[in-house]
Amino acid sequence: MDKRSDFQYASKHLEKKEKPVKRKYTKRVEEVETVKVRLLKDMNVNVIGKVTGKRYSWQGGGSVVNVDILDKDKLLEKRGNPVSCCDDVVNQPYFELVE
Amino acid sequence: MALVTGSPAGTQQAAEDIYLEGAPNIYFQDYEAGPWYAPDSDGFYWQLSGTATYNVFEVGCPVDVSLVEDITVNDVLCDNVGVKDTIQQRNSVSFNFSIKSFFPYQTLRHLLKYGAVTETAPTQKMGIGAISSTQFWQVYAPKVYDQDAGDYIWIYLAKAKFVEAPTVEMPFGDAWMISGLQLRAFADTTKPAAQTFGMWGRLDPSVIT
Repeated sequence: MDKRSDFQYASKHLEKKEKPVKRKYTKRVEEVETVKVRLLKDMNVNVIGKVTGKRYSWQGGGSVVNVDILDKDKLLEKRGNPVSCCDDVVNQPYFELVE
Repeated sequence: MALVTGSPAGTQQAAEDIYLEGAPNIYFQDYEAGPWYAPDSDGFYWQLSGTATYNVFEVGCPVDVSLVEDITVNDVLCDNVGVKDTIQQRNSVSFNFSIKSFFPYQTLRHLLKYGAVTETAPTQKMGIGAISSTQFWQVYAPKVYDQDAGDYIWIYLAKAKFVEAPTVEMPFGDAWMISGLQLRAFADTTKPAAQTFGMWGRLDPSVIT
């Protein structure tokens, strides 16, 4: 074996040795379960989720926003002033769940 | 009781011994929502139905409510004989009123023609800026005259707008009031000719049988 072949053999050998080992990585993604919530009032509403502290913004009546399921219950309970001046209409909730 | 002079001969329509008292409730909704009955089985367009996009707003604590018509009236005057006729044209029909209920802002802002309300608890804000010239409302004003029997009348205006400049009165020792509100109904040419401005209705099962 001449010098050149020695070198080629050696470099091939080295390349083989230094090849990085393929490792399998598992990416951990925290999956958040969300629900769609619709604003029923004629206004823009910004709300901080009582449980998660996330901020949600609705732009006008009928707009729909994805909400963390942990904040859902408190949002659906939100109502305005329950006292009506002139009829017996119960003050309706701010939000509804979009099916 | 028969009149000593005698009643007019032929078919008569006697006046009923029923009287209306007090202001109606007044509700309004975006004209784009369209009436609930469009039309009903009798061909009439009326009633509101609130949605998430098109809320129905109640005018809170109205006072001094009146329904006023604007009609152009011109006599046909002949110089040789006098007035032979009067030509009349209905221009608009308006609810004029004042209110004492200021809340919620999402209703008040339409009465005062302010901007959209933004709420971030515990605050609500609305801007005073340009007035929209494309915002129209449909109006429903029912008046119950027999609560036990459930008899009532209603007035429906097809296409109205808050016009005029209101005044917010802030007296000492009395409730704040917004006076000078006018909800003027214009001719809605999408409705039948006999209902361009709206309609009146009455529900009374004991009389209308």
